[in-house]
Amino acid sequence: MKKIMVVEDNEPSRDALCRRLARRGYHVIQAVDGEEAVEMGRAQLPDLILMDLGLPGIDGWEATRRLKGDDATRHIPLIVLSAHAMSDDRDMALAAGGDDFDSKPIRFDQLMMKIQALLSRTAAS
Amino acid sequence: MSSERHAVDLFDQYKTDIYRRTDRLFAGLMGLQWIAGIVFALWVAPLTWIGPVSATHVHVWAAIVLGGIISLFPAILALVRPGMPSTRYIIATAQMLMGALLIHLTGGRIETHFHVFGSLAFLAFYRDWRVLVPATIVVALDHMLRGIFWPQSVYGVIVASQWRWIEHAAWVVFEDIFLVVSCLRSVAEMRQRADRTAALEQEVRIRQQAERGASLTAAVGLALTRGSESQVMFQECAQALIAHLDGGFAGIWTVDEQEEWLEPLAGAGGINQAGPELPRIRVGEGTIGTIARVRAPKLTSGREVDFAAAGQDRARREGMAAFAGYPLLLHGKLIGVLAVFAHQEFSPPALDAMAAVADGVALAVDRTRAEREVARYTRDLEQAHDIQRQNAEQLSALVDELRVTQRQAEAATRAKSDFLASMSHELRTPLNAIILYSELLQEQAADGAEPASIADLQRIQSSGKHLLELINGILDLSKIEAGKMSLALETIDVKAMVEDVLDTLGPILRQKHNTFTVTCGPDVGPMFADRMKTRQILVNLLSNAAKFTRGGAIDLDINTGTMDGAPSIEFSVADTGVGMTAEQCGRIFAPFTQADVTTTRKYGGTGLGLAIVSRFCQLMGGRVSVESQMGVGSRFIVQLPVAVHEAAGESLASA
Repeated sequence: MKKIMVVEDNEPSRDALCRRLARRGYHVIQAVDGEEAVEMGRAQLPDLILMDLGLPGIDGWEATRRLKGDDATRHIPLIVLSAHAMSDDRDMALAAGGDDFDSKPIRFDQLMMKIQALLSRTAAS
Repeated sequence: MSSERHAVDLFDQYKTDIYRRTDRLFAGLMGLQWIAGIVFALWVAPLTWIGPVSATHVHVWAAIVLGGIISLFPAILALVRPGMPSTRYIIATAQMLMGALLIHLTGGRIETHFHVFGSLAFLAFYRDWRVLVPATIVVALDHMLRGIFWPQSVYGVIVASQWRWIEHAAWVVFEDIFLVVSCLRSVAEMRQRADRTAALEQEVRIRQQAERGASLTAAVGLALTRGSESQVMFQECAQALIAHLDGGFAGIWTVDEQEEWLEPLAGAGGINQAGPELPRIRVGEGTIGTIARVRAPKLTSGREVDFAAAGQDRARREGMAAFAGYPLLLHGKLIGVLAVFAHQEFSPPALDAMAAVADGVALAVDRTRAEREVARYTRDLEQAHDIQRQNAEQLSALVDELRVTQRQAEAATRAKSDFLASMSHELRTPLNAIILYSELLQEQAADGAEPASIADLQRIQSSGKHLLELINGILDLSKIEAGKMSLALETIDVKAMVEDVLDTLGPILRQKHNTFTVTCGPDVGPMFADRMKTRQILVNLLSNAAKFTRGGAIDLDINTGTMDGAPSIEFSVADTGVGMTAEQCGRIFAPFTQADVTTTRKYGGTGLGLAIVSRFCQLMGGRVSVESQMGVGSRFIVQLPVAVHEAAGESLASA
């Protein structure tokens, strides 16, 4: 069973997303801020990370940079989620080390396709 | 006055002086002779003694009475009517009668006869030989008659030859000859003297006139070159004309630009020395107006001048003898007229001087005009410069103001855009949860076979998605207006892009029993544009068509064309839907404007789709237009350049 880490500070959003992913058969772990995300990522080494950008404490940008800067977690595919739909957000997310980008509100089917694509890529490699 | 006439006058004057002087001489002589006669009588014939009675001799009485009669009348004449010809002829006659009386009183002695010769010599003082004629006749007659009838009275003898008077007369005539010659010679000399004097005076006068002419030109030249204020300068010229020409008054006029009127410039002289009030004179009218018209000087007597104004009367009243008027000309161009009235005729040097003055004044008037012109031009230039500077200052102030306004507007737009961006972020987060939960619940309901709640959950989900569309549309518009919307240009395979759009929209297009067809021109190739925006344009137009059409047809035509001389690609979306009125067509591209307020209720939609289409077209340098007929359908035509330029949307972004 693939392990997906959801980093999201907004409780209802996190809860709904986690439950939907769980229904699709994923093992979901949750982090509520940037620091917890970095620690949990190192400790549990999920197969994929969904990272919200607007986080309290260290934000999603910084958390992404740290995870991608750590040899232990660098290989984990990471999808950046942002409520800002600006196109430069996408560029910045990818520049910070994200493997893909999606905007909120989440179109769940679309997100699932991206998740599957990334997981199959790591599985292949 | 000519020299000859003056000489004659002088000659006459000399003669009259001599006549008068000699008349006075004889007046005295008459008195002396009267007394001498009485003395002679008393000496030659003293009181006679006849017994106890002594009496005054009759000769003494004769000397008193006859001598008085002879000498009183001419003496009175000499004093009362000196210089008259009759006076000196009467004096000549009386003088010879007095001689006769003296001869008688002295007893005819020969010494007294010499009185006759002396008298003739005295008469010759008149330098008029004609007075000798009556004198000689009187002497001859006296000697003849007394020689015949009373020889003792004239010769002092009882008996004398009857012809003895001829001898005496001959002596008299003999003397007359010398005296006449002397008189004639003297008169001739007098005449010569008069001629010489007249010639000398004439020369002096000419020299004086030349000097006055020279002093006139000098005075005018000085006035003109002094460069004082022009009105004063010409006033001084007019006064110089008066002062140096015995002028009554002088005037200077300048002609106006149309050469229609002569305007007074300066005047001097006249009844009061302040100068005459010069009239305006129409060119061609009167003597001065004629000078201006024919452009030739005029010299005439003052009385013949037609002033065409009050001046004529004044010229007559003041007895002006001469008038000289000159046109003021410069290179053949009429500048004005100069005129002088004088008490005496003008001398040739004066006329020469006036002609020179006219030339000088013409030059000066022209110079003054030129100076005034230059001054005015300079002033105009300075004014223009001032105005220009003011304009520049105003412009710069305006630019500053505009800059501030623009900065404020930009700040306001940015603030609005930031606000919208942040609002959209805040709205998206709860919306995210709503949609996820509604979908989760739908899945759970489907699993749990609870179809009743599925429909409700679908409504929640679709409402959430509609809200999301609204938020996205607002965000897009705010980005365009804030100038943050940039173009991501790339080469696009048009057909592939259209197929992608149809994959997404196909179900929507074919629902409501609509038929959908796509035609693509054979020469449609790739284009260079922003893929996302072009796609968005097509999605918006097609979903719009699907929204308003039921049981009809929707067509997408793609063709090539030209726009503003450059190759373009044309997307045409036609439907057989509800259509719009012309008035509605005019405002559907504005944000939040649907054709009808009821449209939103009936068909849904955000009212932002066409506004975004329009903005995106502009961003890429293209345009969108619509043709529609109520109840028949609509056709939207989008034209985009085949090759979009980066700068295409700048004007929009900065607007």
